[in-house]
Amino acid sequence: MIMKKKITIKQLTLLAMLLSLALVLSIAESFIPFGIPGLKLGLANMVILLAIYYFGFWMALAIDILRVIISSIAIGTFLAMGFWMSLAGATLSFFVMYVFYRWLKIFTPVGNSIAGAYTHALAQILVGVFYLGSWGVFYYFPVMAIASLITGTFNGFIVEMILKNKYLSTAVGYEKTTI
Amino acid sequence: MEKEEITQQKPEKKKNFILKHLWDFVLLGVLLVGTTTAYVARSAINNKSKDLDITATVLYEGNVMEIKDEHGKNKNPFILSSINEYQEIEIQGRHTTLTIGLKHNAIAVVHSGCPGQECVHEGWVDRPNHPIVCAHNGIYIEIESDNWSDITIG
Repeated sequence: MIMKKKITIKQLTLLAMLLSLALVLSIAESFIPFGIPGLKLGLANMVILLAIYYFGFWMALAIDILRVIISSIAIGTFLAMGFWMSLAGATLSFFVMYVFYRWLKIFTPVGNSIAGAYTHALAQILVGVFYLGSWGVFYYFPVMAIASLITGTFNGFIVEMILKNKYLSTAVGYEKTTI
Repeated sequence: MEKEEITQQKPEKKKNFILKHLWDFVLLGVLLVGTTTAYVARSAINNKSKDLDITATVLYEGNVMEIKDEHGKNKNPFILSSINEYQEIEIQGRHTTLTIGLKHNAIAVVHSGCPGQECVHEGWVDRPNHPIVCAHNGIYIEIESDNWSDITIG
């Protein structure tokens, strides 16, 4: 039901590599302090966007959720507030990026990445509001949102460059090489 | 001849790049203008509210925390405008303890066992509506002022 097409060993290998890459980036960027709760470079978002283009909805969603769970266990924030913030941010940004990819064709991966990063920040703030019981958490939103726009644009251009790589696209069976 | 072709291709490439990303830049522009406006408004309010008398309430998972003084009386919320000497209080968050510093009209988390240390990096806060959050410990310090309505922006 989930996978209509059989997955090749090449694709499976790349899938595992993408999950590992997303994990390493998630854990590494959690050690970079920005002084604002929840503010991160969002490098793992880049991997999720790539997975959406390469593998489609279910595989990319699996990578997204697995990387949040495994990285939070590794960092020691599993089921803590940081975990729920990450999970909400990752899930909401995933759906927005997928909607952009699937139905809003006027946007390139750069636009998808910007929208994903912005909603990631918004979802984190909303979890903060729910968890801490105060709308005052929105105080941090402008800074987080502006940072997300910068990192989202940067990550989007990197994804676009990677998608143009014909060798990688052939390896995963991704046909659209003219992004 | 080849050189001429290359120089002609460059502006064409640039034009194609802009056209291809036109909607991306529109999206970026709209979000950036909206968010920057919110940021500027926030900064304006922040600057105006610098000298107001403030009160800080320490909340744990959305509920006002009970912090007792030496007589067993709850002293949370803290009326910071009436504090004249520096004092520290230790509270227990969900995972670690936090040390909160209090002085005249200012509050800070001076030490926390949380991994991110964002609450400590926030430093001394001396104006209303600037919360201090320690997400790891479920601690939220709400800062308010009774003179808030006196502020006029513009």
